Amino acid sequence: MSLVRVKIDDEEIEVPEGTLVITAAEKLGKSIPHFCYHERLTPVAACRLCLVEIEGMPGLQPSCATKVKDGMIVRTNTKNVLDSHKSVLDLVLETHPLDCPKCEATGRCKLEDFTYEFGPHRVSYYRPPGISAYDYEELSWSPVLKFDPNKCVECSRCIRVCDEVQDCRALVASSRGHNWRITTFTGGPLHCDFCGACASVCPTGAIEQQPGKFWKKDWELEKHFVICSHCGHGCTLLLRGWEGRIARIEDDFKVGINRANICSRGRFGFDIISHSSRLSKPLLRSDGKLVEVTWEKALFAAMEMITASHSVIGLASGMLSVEELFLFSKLLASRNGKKFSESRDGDVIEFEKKRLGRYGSTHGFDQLDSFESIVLVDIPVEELDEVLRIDLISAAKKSGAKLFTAGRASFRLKKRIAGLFKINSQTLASAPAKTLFVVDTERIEEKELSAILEKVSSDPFTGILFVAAQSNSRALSSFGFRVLPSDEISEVDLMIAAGPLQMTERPTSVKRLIASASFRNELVESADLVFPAALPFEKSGTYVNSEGRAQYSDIAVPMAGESWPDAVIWISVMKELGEATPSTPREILDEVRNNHPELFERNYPVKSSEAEPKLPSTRLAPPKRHRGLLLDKSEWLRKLQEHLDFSKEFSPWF
Amino acid sequence: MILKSVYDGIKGLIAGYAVTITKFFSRGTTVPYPEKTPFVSERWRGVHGLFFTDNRFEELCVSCHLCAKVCPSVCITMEGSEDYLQRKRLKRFDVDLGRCIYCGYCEEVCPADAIRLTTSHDYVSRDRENLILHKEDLIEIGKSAMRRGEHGALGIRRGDGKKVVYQENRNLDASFKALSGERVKR
Ligand code: SF4
Ligand code: SF4
Ligand code: SF4
Ligand code: SF4
Ligand code: SF4
Ligand code: FES
Repeated sequence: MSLVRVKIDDEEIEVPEGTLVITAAEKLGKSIPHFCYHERLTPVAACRLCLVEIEGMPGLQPSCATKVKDGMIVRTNTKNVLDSHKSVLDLVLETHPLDCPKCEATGRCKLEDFTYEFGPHRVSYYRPPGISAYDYEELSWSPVLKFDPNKCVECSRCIRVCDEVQDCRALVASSRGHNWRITTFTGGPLHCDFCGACASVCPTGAIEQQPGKFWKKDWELEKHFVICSHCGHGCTLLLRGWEGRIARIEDDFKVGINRANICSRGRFGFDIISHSSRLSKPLLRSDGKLVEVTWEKALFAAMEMITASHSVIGLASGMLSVEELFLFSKLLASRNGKKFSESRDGDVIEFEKKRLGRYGSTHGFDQLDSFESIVLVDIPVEELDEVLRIDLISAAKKSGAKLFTAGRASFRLKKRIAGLFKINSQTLASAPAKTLFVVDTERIEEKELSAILEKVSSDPFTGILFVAAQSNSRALSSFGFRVLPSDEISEVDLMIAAGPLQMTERPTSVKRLIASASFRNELVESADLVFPAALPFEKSGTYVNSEGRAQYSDIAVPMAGESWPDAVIWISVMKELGEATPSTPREILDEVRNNHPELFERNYPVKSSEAEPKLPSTRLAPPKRHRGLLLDKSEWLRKLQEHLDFSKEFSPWF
Repeated sequence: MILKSVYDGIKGLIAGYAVTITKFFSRGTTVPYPEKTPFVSERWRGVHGLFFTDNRFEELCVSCHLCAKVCPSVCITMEGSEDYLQRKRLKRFDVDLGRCIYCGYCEEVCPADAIRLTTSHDYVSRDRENLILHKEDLIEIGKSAMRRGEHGALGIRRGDGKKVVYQENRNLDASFKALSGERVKR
């Protein structure tokens, strides 16, 4: 792409051809007000807020829809331009309720910001207070989204994000002229994917998330980047919370593999952290009933149970972090225990090692646009990985990639499927150039498919993208956890279950059961010893997503009750048993890296500064502003202190 | 020589006693606090109160968090929530008097005139925890200040010259007087 030179307010900049004027100005650090322009969406030039003067063009031009040309001279600060900003904002404010103090959006509202910077500080069209221009009723679209039509500035970002990015088309514009208004497709409650993208792109407080509403102002909420562990995509979430509680999940276009796409599980699923059935203390079965005990007692009981057992098996969840799975497998190895998992995902590492001779998918989620055709090999995309569906749609729309399916067609992608594809020995010969095979790891063992994949991996023009359902299936496979055979667990003395599991009842052939769990469920009720485990966001750890990208997730909120991260639980159990174990995060990670380099093979981080997974150094940093003697805070600090004391005594994980 | 200094001494003594004796029989300037309540200016910046509408039925605060933001000693902590009419209202409001410097910024910034500094000035405690006023305490203080007819340290002030923005709960007469430059009578 060739570069062109443009001059913006006497400053010159070189940008690639086809760049929009507003983007070039942004690069120079100039602020041009805008509502309808958004970096993720196609420009529509509807709001006329971003007008600038361009030499040689008549009148004022919308900078969000004008591409730069070589030698273009742009002016953003002449009186004419500033007056136009002012009058457009004046017209918007005419119908605006001016409710900023009690509006959820203050602090991040674009209308507020631009009015402060450019706008009329007194509106020309005076309306007595209490009399709204429209007086529409505020609508609760769904339990997670609400809409206040009075605050809408008619930028249509929400319609476009729902259509172009999410491919849901749940929002439409109704009527024309002064009555132009956003409504749901049915006019009633919202029926959609509930991705929350519309609330995220809305420049004002018109569409807002319901959870955490009115709780805190934007400027009071902390920011933490965390990795979602609900599926194998490994999206980066921007968690906003205060004093250990979560207000909402936001997205950041610049950080993470998901490019600001988040599915409903990631966006609104954070409230499981404070679910009422969370376990807060270790439970031990005595006289047939589970009673709460101290950690010392629980660890001692675990030691007794493990030493008394001759045959041990372990069942691990793919939602645990790499470090935790590693420590759990170490514990099992020290007792010659068999390692099992519940994962539906296949042994992808084993397959890659034996058949492909390399680790990780050949291409990442962000490289889909470089292919001319993409073959979905019998894979229910939106069930496994919702954000991959969005990525596929964007590849099909933006770069014209053709989608083919071999086997089941994904329901939501049906419209975009260009044709069917047969997986047989002629597949490769008939495949168009530059093809990407998107493969469900559940099926890699199938004979024909694996033969094709073997061939593909040596072909430079085709690629393979593995998709797994669980956030750490690769680590499970690498540490040797195999799928639990449903019928044949022969008599075992002890089963140890780690992490969130789907299993609802204890296998009858198991004599004793130790479980680490976060919630009270049937499996917990049938266990002999239960450790309360911390959930993601409450603990740090590395997650290897289905591409094979290792990402580090930091601690964002304090742990619930007396729960511990699984890593700490298994370290403490091993110490109780007298086994040697790495105990600091650095030691654990180094050991994993040395023994299982395949997990870190494709560590191509989004930001170069994240090349090395960082360690939880900020864990016990004091709150930024000292706020005196407030009780809740000290409660929180007390909790942190307890964990600190514990770490001195048992393990230096923190 | 000696006589002269004796004379000077006695003169000084008499002058000194004269002052003492006159003061002894004149009216005092100090107040025997706490038996007697001292006169406090109506613009005294004392303990905060959360004020209500004139019928003392509804809170004025809209939970905008501006007082917490402006407070230079970071002594206000608050949380909002939704009330039964889906409006934004206060859930928790803590003022740490141990940190407060009684600058009155919170009153000045408040768009709803909800938080105002009252003339109440004798808030003491042996326990630091008691110096943290919660929402209920502040409402109590605000209501009693309203009963005494107080309007906060800044008095009633609203409007910007041409366009006067009144709120229904305001005492309109007093507002007009305040705007026309007259001192607010309480
Ligand atoms: S949407 Fe923005 S400008 Fe409108 S009331 Fe809310 S904060 Fe104020
Ligand atoms: S939540 Fe997502 S799917 Fe639903 S209307 Fe908003 S953008 Fe569309
Ligand atoms: S609801 Fe928000 S995003 Fe949608 S048109 Fe109105 S202001 Fe724009
Ligand atoms: S796609 Fe997967 S990783 Fe991304 S937000 Fe949804 S559940 Fe989380
Ligand atoms: S400034 Fe006034 S309205 Fe805003 S939160 Fe404080 S007391 Fe309430
Ligand atoms: S941002 Fe350019 S016209 Fe709306």
